[in-house]
Parts: sequence; structure tokens; C-alpha cells
Amino acid sequence: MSIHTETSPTETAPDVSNEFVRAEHLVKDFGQHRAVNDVSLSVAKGEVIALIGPSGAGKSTLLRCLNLLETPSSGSLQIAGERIVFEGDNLKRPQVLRLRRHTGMVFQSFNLFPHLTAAKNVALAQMRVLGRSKKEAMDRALTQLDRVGLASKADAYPSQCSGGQQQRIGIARALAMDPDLMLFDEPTSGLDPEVGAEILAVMRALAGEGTTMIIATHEMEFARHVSHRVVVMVEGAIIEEGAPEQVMSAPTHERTQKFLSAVLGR
Amino acid sequence: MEEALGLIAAATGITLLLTVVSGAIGLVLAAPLVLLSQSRQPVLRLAYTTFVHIVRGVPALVWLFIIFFGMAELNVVIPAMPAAIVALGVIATASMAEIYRGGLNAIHFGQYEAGWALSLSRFSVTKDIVFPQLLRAVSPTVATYFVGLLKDSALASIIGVGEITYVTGQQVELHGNGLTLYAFAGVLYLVMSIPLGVLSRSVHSRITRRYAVV
Ligand SMILES: Nc1ncnc2c1ncn2[C@@H]1O[C@H](COP(=O)(O)OP(=O)(O)OP(=O)(O)O)[C@@H](O)[C@H]1O
Ligand SMILES: [Mg+2]
Repeated sequence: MSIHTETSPTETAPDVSNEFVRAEHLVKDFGQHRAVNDVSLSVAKGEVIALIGPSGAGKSTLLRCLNLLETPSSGSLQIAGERIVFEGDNLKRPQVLRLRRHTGMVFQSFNLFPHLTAAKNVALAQMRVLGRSKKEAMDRALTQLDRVGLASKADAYPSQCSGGQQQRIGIARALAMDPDLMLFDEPTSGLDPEVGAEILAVMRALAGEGTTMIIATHEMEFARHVSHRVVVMVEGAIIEEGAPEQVMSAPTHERTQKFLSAVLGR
Repeated sequence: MEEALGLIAAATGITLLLTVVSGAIGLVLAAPLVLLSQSRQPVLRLAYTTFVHIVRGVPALVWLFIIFFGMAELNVVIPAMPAAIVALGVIATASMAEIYRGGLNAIHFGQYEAGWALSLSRFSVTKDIVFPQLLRAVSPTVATYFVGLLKDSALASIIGVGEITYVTGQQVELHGNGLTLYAFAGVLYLVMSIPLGVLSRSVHSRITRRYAVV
């Protein structure tokens, strides 16, 4: 692993002038319902962003707009120099794939492929999308599984793995595509707290290695200690953002205070 | 007697031909058919439901009569064997499409999304993720359907297709010995269905092992 793992990521603050992801005025409507409302967000390379907010705030929808699993209704999105402006049905499939290639996603419900072993889960897209040979893809799959501490499970099927192990395989699967931006949608919500801690440890290590990440989470302690910036979403909009200490200890927005006191129980 | 048994056993080929050909028609044509049920166009989904309901709502025997006698009335003479293949094949198509549809519905939407999030093409998601899971999910049901089809092929005896049941009937008329000859025919059906049953069970146990948790 990289030399940074010993250092807390908050100490290795990313160069914020190095803007890497830029979402501008993103809107996502589901019929009458506006799930994402005029969201603008810039992310620097190596930055770790915790996306917090009450249920139904639009966190998942925002993440899914960032890898185009949802097509934004309007606004624009730029990742690693690829830019798309959303207006009507103008989206072309190759554009979607080009932009998506920069992202990796980890799901709350893991979504591993049940008919493939752990190693093959990690190898499949490397072969199909990156054109790597089977041997190279499997070698890299083993490397990634080792990175999340699961080399021993390479030949196991997902059903033979615990929830925490499945989620780590999910992380390895996304990492194997060498994404520039990792999106995590409540990666620990479906897990027992102790098991969730394993996942958070893996993510903390990734943060230490300079991985750019946006994490929708209800883990306030993790948001506080691992992220560089906390973004608070309510009713589809970003109402507040800033350094974790500042947002968590001295929130300026009344809605943030209400949310934090509800989740932190104070 | 021995001659009768020999003739009945020889009809096995026709029974198998009828079963395999109409089953294969169903296996293949059900694939494009089930796509209609997944369409975004309500009209196509309605077309699917209507077709499946009509085909499966009418007894196989009635379809056989419609195609064999009914068409002949319209001066479209279809020989017995092709008529039986068409009737059983169309019914198999509708039934297999329903089996496929059940299998597709059992695949969680997250499977598609995981594939897309990895930048896999639609083709690859279908071929590498959906299809293998579908195959595993439907193969026991498909095998069971084939056993049913094997037995239903006896219906074709009524329009004079020379399969096991028809030939047995002929021999009983000539020589008597109904109990022995029909029992022999029954055994032939049983023997043919054994490999399908074994296949279906082995596939099924493999799936349940693999999908134990999910
Ligand atoms: N496919 C969809 N169709 C219609 N409405 C949707 C869809 N997906 C999300 N929504 C709605 O958009 C809003 C935002 O949902 P979203 O899942 O993004 O919230 P969230 O912040 O992730 O919540 P949670 O913390 O519960 O995961 C909700 O009101 C939800 O019902
Ligand atoms: Mg969510």
C-alpha cells in the first residue's frame, strides 16, 4: 500500500485548486418529484466527501446522477475533463460510457454477481470493458481482493461469504477498474456495526492512499474523522458544506442542527 | 405379442421427435417473445399477455383439432405430424416464455445496475450477468416442462400421429392384451422422463447450493 496509510487523510489535505469533479446546477426529477434540486459540487483529486442528510434527501439519487445510472434532468457534469450538459434527451450512449468509465460504485446491497466467484466478480468488467486478458484480469482481481483482505475468498461464491466480505468484494470489484472517483452509497448500512467497522477501515485506507471518494453515509464518526469535507443534503438540495469539525460541531443551518441532533442524539 | 412390443418400442422415435422438436421451437421462440413482456411499450406488453393467455387458456387438444381439422376445412391441409408439432410448439412457446419471464423477474434490478456501474455494455450485462442467472433459474422448470410435453405428445395420437400411444392403441385393437401393452407404453414414457428428472434435480441442487444466501 501507499506510504500515506499511516497518516490521517485529513492531514494530507488535497489540493483544492485541483478540481476534478464539477457538477453544476444538477436537477433530477422523478415525474412531479424533484429528488435533486440545483446541486453544484466540486471535488478535488484525492478529496473525500461525506454526503449526509435525512432519509429521502436525495443522496443516493445524487450519487447515481454522478455515474449516470440516473440521467439528470438538467445541469452539467464534468469528471476528469469529460463534460456533459444535460438538456432533454440529448445524452449519447458513448458519452455516458466515457464519463462512467471514470467512476466506480459500491452499493448498500453489494449487488455481487451470484453466479461468479469473488475473483470472477472482480475480473469480469476488466476483461469486457478494459480488454484485459483473462490471466491479467484474474491476477489483478487477486491483488484487489488481497487489498481488501480477502485473497483467501477468491474462489468462493458470494453466497459463501458474509455480508462484510461481500461488501469488500464489491469494493475490490469497483477498484479493479482503476476509477478516478469512487462512489459509496451507504456501504455499511446493511451490516452489523462490527462488520461495518471492517468496511470503514478499508475505506479509511483508501482515503489514505489518495482515492477520490464521495460517500453517502449515516456514520457520523466516520464522516468526522475520515472525510475532508461534509456535505449536507436536505430535500434534494445542498444546504451546508464545510470541514467536518465545523459542520458537525458548529452547523450554521438550522436544518443541519436538527438532523445532527437527531442522528447524534444530542 | 413380441411383434406388438417391437412396433410400440419403434414408435418411441416419433414420440421423441415430436417432443424434442416442439420443445425446441418453444425454447427458441420464447426468447424473442418474452422480450415483448419486458418492453417499455404498453402495447407490446399487452400483445404478450394476450398471446400467452389465449394460447395457454385453450386446451392443447382443442388447438390440435383447430390446426388439424379446422385448417383442413379452410382447405389448408396440414399433415398430422406437422400439425401436432405446430400445436405443441406454439403452446410450448407461450409456456416457456412465462417460465423465462418468471426467471427474469427473479433477477434483482441491482444486478443490472452493478453491471452498468462497471461500464459494461448492455450486451455484456445480458450475456454475462442476466443470461447465466436466468439459465440456472429456469432450467429445472424447463426440464419439468419437457417431461409434461413428453406426456402431452400422446394427444397427437388422436389425429393419427404414429407415436407410442397411437401405435399401442392399434396393436391392442389387433391383438388384445390391452393391460400389458399399455403398461409397456407407460414404462417407455417413464424411462424417457428419467434423464430429464435427473438433469433437473442436479441443476436444481447446484443452484440452491450456490444461491444459498441470496
Ligand atoms: N426511481 C425513482 N422514482 C421515483 N422516485 C424516486 C426514485 N428514486 C428516488 N426517488 C425519490 O427521490 C427522493 C430521494 O431519494 P434518495 O433515495 O436519493 O434519498 P436518500 O437521501 O438516498 O435517502 P436514504 O437515506 O433513505 O437512502 C425520495 O423522495 C425518493 O422517494
Ligand atoms: Mg440512499
